[in-house]
Amino acid sequence: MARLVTRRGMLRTSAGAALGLTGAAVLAACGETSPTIVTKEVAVETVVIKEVPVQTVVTRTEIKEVPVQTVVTQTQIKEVPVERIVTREKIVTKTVPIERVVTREVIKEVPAERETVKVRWQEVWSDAFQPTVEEKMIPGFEARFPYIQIENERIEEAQMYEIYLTQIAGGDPPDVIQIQESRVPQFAARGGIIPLDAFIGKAGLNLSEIFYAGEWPKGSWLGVQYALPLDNTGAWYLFWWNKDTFEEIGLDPDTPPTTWTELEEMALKATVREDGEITRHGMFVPEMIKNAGTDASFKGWQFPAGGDMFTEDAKTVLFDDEIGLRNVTWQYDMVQKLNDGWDNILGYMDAVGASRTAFYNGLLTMRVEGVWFLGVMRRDAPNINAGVSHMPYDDTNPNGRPRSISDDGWAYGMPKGAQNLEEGWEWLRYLTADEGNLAFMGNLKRPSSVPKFNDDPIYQSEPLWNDLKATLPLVEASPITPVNPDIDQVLKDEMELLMAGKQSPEETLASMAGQTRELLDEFFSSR
Amino acid sequence: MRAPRWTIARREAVWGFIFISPWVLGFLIFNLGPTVAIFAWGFSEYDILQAPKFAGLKNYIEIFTDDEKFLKSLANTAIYVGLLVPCQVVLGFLLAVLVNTKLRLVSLFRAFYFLPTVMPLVVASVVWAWVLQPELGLLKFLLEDTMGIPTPRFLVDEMWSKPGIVILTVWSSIGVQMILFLAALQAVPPHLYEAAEIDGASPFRKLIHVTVPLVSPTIFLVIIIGIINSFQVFTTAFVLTGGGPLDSTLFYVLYLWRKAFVSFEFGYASALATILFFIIMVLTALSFWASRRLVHYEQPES
Repeated sequence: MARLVTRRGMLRTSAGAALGLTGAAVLAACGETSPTIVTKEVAVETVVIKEVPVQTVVTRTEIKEVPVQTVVTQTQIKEVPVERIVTREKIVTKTVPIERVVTREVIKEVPAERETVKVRWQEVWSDAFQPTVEEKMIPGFEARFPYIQIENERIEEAQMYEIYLTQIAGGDPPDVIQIQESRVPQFAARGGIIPLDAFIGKAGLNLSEIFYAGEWPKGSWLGVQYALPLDNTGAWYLFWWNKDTFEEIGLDPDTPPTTWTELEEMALKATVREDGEITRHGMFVPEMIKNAGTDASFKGWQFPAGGDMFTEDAKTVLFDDEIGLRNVTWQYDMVQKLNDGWDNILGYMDAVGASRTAFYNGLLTMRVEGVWFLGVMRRDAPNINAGVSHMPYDDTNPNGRPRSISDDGWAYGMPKGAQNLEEGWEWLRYLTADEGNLAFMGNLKRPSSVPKFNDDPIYQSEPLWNDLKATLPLVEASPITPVNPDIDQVLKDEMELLMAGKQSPEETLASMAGQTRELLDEFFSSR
Repeated sequence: MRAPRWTIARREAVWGFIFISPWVLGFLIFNLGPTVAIFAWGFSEYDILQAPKFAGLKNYIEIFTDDEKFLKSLANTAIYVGLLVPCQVVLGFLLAVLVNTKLRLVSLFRAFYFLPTVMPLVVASVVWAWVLQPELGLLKFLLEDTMGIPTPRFLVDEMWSKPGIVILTVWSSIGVQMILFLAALQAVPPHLYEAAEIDGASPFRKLIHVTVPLVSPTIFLVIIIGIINSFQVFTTAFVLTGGGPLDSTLFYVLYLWRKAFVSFEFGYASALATILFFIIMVLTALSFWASRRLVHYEQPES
């Protein structure tokens, strides 16, 4: 049925149409080109994982500052239709009128989503500075690696190897462990610790540029790196003297003995005898440092004597020679000359550090202990006026020179069976070659294995710091064998028998060398 | 007539099993497995980090034919047990007699004597290391420096190192023996003392002829526990002397521990542990055999 168009109706329609056209024309006249709305999702090709504080997003009408941490772009620095902005927490899909996204740089490609990985870290030292670990080190690292979460498990040092071995045997080891370098070959030769060479290579680390030359080789076995050093053992053995006593007996308080001859002269001068009894000792030359790890005066004096312990492959004994005999004989003679026999100093050779107390109280003028003694001394006797230097060397040997042995120290490694190797490695690297090392060692006021960290202002309040630091480059790494703890026990036992007068220096050296060879031969023949 | 199914004896037995079941379960889960494993590993070369390799009797042959430290550590331990256990029995008993009186504040004394028992042995060891320290220690100051009495060089002298550890162990464990003896003393029926008094027995005779026989089961218990525990001495030597001087405190378990966790010779250490197990078992069996004649048990009237 035909519809009747009235004149009024036609006028109304015409007016409406005209109004619409006019409106459209006005809008068209007022506006510029409409924004391009991208609605199609674009494939993710490259992910920027470095944190970019502010990305400038230019739109048609405004410039927005968006705290973008990860931005997915199609290509780098290019005008692209972007519609997905990946934040740290999640991927936000937005349809926004964006024309340009400028990224600063593209670091590396990673999966768009990454699950949080928990890294179990076991160590024995942090009891004294848990706040630093919890408030500084771990948060600092986790900010850098948001997908890694560190779980700190502090364990007792005396039980550490029981715990490690049990965990490894049980198939539930942590990811990163603190380990003594004297134990690294022992673990490495039995497959108990994971080689780090692949990680080091991938990270492009040059160990000899990062660490002291005497430190990093101690974490290796047969040319493979298994652990990275934490501290500078600074010579496991350093020479400490009481400056006040030096002044009292007319010696220059700032000039320690540098040779064995000088040491003997100064120690004799410092020794005080009253009614046939020694009331002040110059020095306990063979002091066997209990609880210090090695207990081995033989090794401590072997390097300054001009000798060595083992060949580079740690298979052959080198100390069974004239230098070794001179070392043993000299130590024995010094006890007779300076202390009137072993009996007079036996009481100080205990587990509680009586010789330290004797040193603080002025009953002992000179002594040998490692770098850790600085912190111990400041804690126990903060006002003592002491000096530190390298060990005096044997000036009767043309090869004698100031040098220090280092066959121990603390490092970090990853045990066999560790679950999160990539993430564990990042934490290990942070603890040793990065800021974590400084935070850890700075708290202990002990030198770091990284030279540049030892210039940090955190150490500068310590008056002896520069003197101690000067001894560090003298440290040479001595080869460490896979039966190192057993050899240390042999050396300690034999030196004790010598000092107690139960065997001669010749018998002592022969027994040491014989037992050491036997241990090495037995181990290497079984491989 | 049919006997009742649940007799009193049967019911008591069931309750008895229920009450000891936590220990039995704990033993089965945590002790039996490791014990069997130790026996097995004793016949292997095992460093924990790699799978054990069967080695037959190699470890045992080496222990008995080529290990001086095995004999040394066993001898050290035997001497230590010989010194410690009699001290624990005699001093524990005397202390219990002292605190078994009806004096005022006696409970305080009991608590005081028991207090060292709850102190961790490592802490006690460090404290005693300074007390016994031969040059700068408290004992030397009190005896030698103040009164001119020469003091032995405990812990650093080969001859005095074991007695030093015995002193510490007695101090830290005497509370347990005291409590055991105290319980036994309080269970002695008073009428026996009254009868002895009527017969004109002196206090010493009452002690010897009444008290000692009646607490002899406790004496036996203290001896058995003392032997078993002291053969496993470790912590004090580990903390105080590290086995020195001159291996004079290298006790059996310390040597075993060194083999396992310092040398990584876990198979060898397992063989040592097995030997220790049998030594303690034989000594315990001997004690039980001897107890038949020496221990007096009250027999219930039939």
